[in-house]
Amino acid sequence: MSEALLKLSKITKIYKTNEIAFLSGLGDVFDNARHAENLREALSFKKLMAAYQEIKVTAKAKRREFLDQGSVRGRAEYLRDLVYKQNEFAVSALLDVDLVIHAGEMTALAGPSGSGKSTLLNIIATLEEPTSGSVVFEGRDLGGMGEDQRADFRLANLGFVFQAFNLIPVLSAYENVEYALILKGLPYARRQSLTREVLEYVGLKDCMHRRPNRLSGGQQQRVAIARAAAVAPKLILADEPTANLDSKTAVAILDLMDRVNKEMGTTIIYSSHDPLVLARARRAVHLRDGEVVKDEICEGRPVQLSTDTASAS
Amino acid sequence: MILALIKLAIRNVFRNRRRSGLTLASVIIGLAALFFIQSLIKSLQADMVERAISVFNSHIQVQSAKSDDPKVPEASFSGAARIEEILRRDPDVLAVSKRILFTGLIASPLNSMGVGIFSVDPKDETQLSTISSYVKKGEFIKDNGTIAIGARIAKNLDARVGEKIVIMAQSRDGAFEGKALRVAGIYETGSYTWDASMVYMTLQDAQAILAWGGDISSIAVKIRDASALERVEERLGKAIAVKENGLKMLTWKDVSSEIIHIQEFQDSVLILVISVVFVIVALGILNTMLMSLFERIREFGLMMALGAKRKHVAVLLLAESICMGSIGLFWGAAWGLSIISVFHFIGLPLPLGEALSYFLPFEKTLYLRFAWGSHAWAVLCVILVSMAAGIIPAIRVSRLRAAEALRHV
Repeated sequence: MSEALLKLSKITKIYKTNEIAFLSGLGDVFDNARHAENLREALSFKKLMAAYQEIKVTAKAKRREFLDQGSVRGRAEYLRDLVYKQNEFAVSALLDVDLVIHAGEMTALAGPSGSGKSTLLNIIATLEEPTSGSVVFEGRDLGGMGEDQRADFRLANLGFVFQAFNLIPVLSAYENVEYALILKGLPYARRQSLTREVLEYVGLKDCMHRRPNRLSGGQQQRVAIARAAAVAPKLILADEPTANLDSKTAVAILDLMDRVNKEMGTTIIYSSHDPLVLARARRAVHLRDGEVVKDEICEGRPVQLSTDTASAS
Repeated sequence: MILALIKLAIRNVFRNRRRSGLTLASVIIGLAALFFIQSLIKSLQADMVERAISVFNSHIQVQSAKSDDPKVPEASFSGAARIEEILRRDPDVLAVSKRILFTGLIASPLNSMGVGIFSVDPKDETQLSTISSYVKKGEFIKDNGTIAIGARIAKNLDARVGEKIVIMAQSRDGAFEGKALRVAGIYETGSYTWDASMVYMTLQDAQAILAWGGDISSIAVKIRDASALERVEERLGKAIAVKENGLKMLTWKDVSSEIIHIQEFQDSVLILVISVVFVIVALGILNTMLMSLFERIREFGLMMALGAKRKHVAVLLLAESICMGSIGLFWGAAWGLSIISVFHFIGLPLPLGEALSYFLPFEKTLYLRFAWGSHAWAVLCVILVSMAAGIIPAIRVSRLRAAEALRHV
């Protein structure tokens, strides 16, 4: 087996809802109030509102509820109640996920909506940080990187394919692919040849100068794959790449991803909840409620593996 | 990278054509109107200065240091011929005219009235001032014993060309002296004050009435390049040793300081108008950019996911804002300059001319001219304003988190 490209250890991701953000921001106000001589002054409506603005709570209902409390005492009691109930608002998107991805693999993340597939892809992509656990890519721990470092990491190592295609609408198919190469800093001549080459590779030779609104869904996803592949990434992450496509086009897109994986040797991780798509997966990692419940090799026929993926490495 | 950024910025500007079009229209109309107002005010100011210089002030005046009133210097000085010679030798000096300005009484058999009397050497004055071009009947004074009067004076006195009238004034020794002069010409400048209260006679006639001998009250100097006024004034002052000779040298700005005050007031109003226009332009661009930002949050998330740094997307938004400002700038300037060009040739009827010409001759039609300095400021302001309007959206986009932006609906 080839060496591990990616190793996830004990990845947990807990989302704070608006209510939690609201409460944690107000924690400071309560701390101040505790030490203040004049509690009434410390919990004044003005100060609470200032804190409220500062943490930028978007939940309008909460705001209304808060304001409906009327008196300063009423508002203080309301906030105190919320503090005690804050654990009710926490959402665990991922819980102790261990996963090893080897170079050259094509892995499907399977599971129903809300099982944590997209969150896991986002964490691998360094778009989000896990609440706990570590992500190691080619032996390098990705934790603690700044925004710009993460951007550099993505630019150097990753390609993306999204469910909604996410092409830049004002750019043609050609320019969309070229944009990724511009970000990578390739010279003009190299960009031109590479963009044409990769668009021909995905079968868009005749419509490379059309803008996305003049391309079908399948063609747009091909452009997205071309854009991801053009930068020669070590890993392509595809979040529900076939969800917006009919079954025939979905098969064609999977074939294309399969070709990219086999011919270019690019490691691919994609998520899906479509049984038809998963049936074509060579390795499927099943998630449910944020936990890995099954990790199987399914070439030929599905093979049941140990759920302890760490041992697979 | 920069070219790609500019291309993307231009396309994004025209993504929502109607919205961008409305914003651009506000920039274009605002800038064109601003160019027009700048041109109008600056042309008005320049015309006012030119009229004042050409009829009354000239560029520079040499007066006695004892004179208190710069407009009608009451003190006389001698040695004018020597000073005139020095002035004429200067390469920057175009024309020189010796003058005596005083007040007196003009009388015809029918009527009499008080007037301001401009006594000049007709040949020199014709080279320096435009008064002779306003003569409608007869001709401007040529010889001693003649006088040119304003149309309203002629009407009041019922005097015609060729008829005799009498000028009376107090001489140096306090006696009231008079001299009969023949009307050589009647001028009509359009200025009520000028036509109703100023007359022109020769220097020698005035010196005879006032018993001033060869003394005069001022020497008017016209220079080749008005922009070199201060430099020439300083040099001429040294050449004729004004202080040592008990003289002083005044520019038109000293003589007609009220024009400077009017200009300053007009410039202040112009700055106020510019500020209002640019605040409106800035808010228009800011609004468009913020709407564009909120509509494209997913797209910015995508760019960040692909590896674009925060500063890259921030610069993109800033570039879009500058791009919008630049397009507006180009068309606004083109329209503004075209409008000015049209009125440069056909002229702009100016009802205000009636009021402005009360004291000095002023045309009722204003031919607009380009105020390049002011236009350049307006252009710079549009660039700065469009940059400033892009800063807030740029900061907001740089604070986006890629994952959240990609989830944005």
